[in-house]
Amino acid sequence: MIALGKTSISTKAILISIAIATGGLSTAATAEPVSKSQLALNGYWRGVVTQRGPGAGPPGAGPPQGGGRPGGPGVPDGRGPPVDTFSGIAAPLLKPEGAAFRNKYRAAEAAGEQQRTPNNLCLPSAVPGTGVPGGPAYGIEILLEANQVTFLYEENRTARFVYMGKDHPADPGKTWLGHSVGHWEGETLVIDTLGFNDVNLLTEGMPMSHQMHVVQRLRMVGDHLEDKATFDDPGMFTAPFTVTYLFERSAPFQEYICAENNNEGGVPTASGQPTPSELPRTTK
Amino acid sequence: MNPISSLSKPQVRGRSLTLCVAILLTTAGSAFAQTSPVKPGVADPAAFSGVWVTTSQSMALVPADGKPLPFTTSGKALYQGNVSGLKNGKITDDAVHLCLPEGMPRAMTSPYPMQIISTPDQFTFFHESNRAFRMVRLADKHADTDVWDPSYMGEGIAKWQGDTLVIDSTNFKSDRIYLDATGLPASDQLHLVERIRTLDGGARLEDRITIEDPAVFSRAWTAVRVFERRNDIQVKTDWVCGEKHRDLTALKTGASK
Repeated sequence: MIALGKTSISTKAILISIAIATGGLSTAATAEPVSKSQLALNGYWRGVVTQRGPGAGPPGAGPPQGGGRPGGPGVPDGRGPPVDTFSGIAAPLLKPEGAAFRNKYRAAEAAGEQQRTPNNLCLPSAVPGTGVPGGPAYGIEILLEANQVTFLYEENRTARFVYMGKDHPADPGKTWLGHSVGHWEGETLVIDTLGFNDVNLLTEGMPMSHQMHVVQRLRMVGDHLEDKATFDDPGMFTAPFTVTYLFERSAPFQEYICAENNNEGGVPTASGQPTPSELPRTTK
Repeated sequence: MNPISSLSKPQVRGRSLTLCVAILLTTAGSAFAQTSPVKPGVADPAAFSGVWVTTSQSMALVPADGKPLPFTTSGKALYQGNVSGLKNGKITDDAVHLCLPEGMPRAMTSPYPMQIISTPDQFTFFHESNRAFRMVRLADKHADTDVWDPSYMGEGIAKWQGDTLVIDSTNFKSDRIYLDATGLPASDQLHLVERIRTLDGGARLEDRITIEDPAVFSRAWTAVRVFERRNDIQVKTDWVCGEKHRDLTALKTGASK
């Protein structure tokens, strides 16, 4: 390194070196600098209620969100917000097949029936996943490294890896969490996710398809973390839509193990975990 | 020592690069790692970051000194009961059958990959198996057990001793875990001290796990687990019990995915 003898060394060069030493990153040159204000994203966060997306149901509509899980947040005291405000996602944008799924879900929910959803069967949540503002008081933790940003989710003890400076593979496959790549645009962390499977839900009762493509823009706004997420899923929605989530700093979250409570209607499942084929399909 | 020249050789590893990074980090005060001026045996958090796979063929924890497991009388009875129960099916291995976390130290014996994530005040161990993870804070004091519940992974705090990260873990959900897949029992007195360091210029990682549990063992004993760095693979984050998992044979032969 030519600059070794100088007092000011570019951060970028340093991070490239780190990437080589720690990850053998083949595209090391794309590792972006991480400034002090970018590093502020590191840490524990919890969602705060801010705004609802366009077309969301009226405030107070629907029963509390709790995923139907015994002891789940929102259930015991009924303080949890309605599903529509939980997600902030505009149900009217759903295509007919998605609307049919959602109506069926809402009807069953209103009837107090146990819902078989990925989330309450302890399966990994999709993006935006658990911990979105206005939802249950579950926490997330963001860990910034030069070549990877990691999201840890308290709920269902799930993690999401965002590969920095990388492209999606030609075939991202179909996975519960999708495949995420990211890069910095100034102080904003931009995350691009696709490759979801066909059985996960966007949020409880809100279907999504394999065509879902999410672009998140995360940045600090004052003391808060802003996550502006644009969802584009021509398989399930009639148009792309954007939801802005806000998070506030939080104490560390503890070890929440969904599988300890893994049951359906109070009856433990034989295998402990259903296979995806046991789940209601979100697409035809 | 010229990192620029090694840009064309992304797989290059070694002490020289590690040292170089440490110098750069120190010079720039990067928040990724607070390192002292470079000396052999000095802490280098970035060296831990990445994907690791066990080099051991066995999932059993055994004393590194070659001596028999130092059971107490009741500890031995508990273990024999677990071994026979797991064999004849009277005991269910919940970690396997109910998707419950394997817990510590068993998570460190998994044949599936793990990834260590290094951030300024924390080391995070993410295990592909059952997507278990533990956050280990760089801290002097354990969390208050009045507010921090027992957990499968325990509550780990870490400090540096030279180039070795020493993790002290307590407060386990001991009635729910075995120390390893053979059914080594744990009590609420379980206390782990891990000494983790890199070997061979960062190509390997050693975890010396000292297990102390007076209800089960007559003295503390130490097991050693060694991992090799695997830059060629990515740890999968969406492990689901009942779904098809990674082909471990491919992992051992060095094939990616």
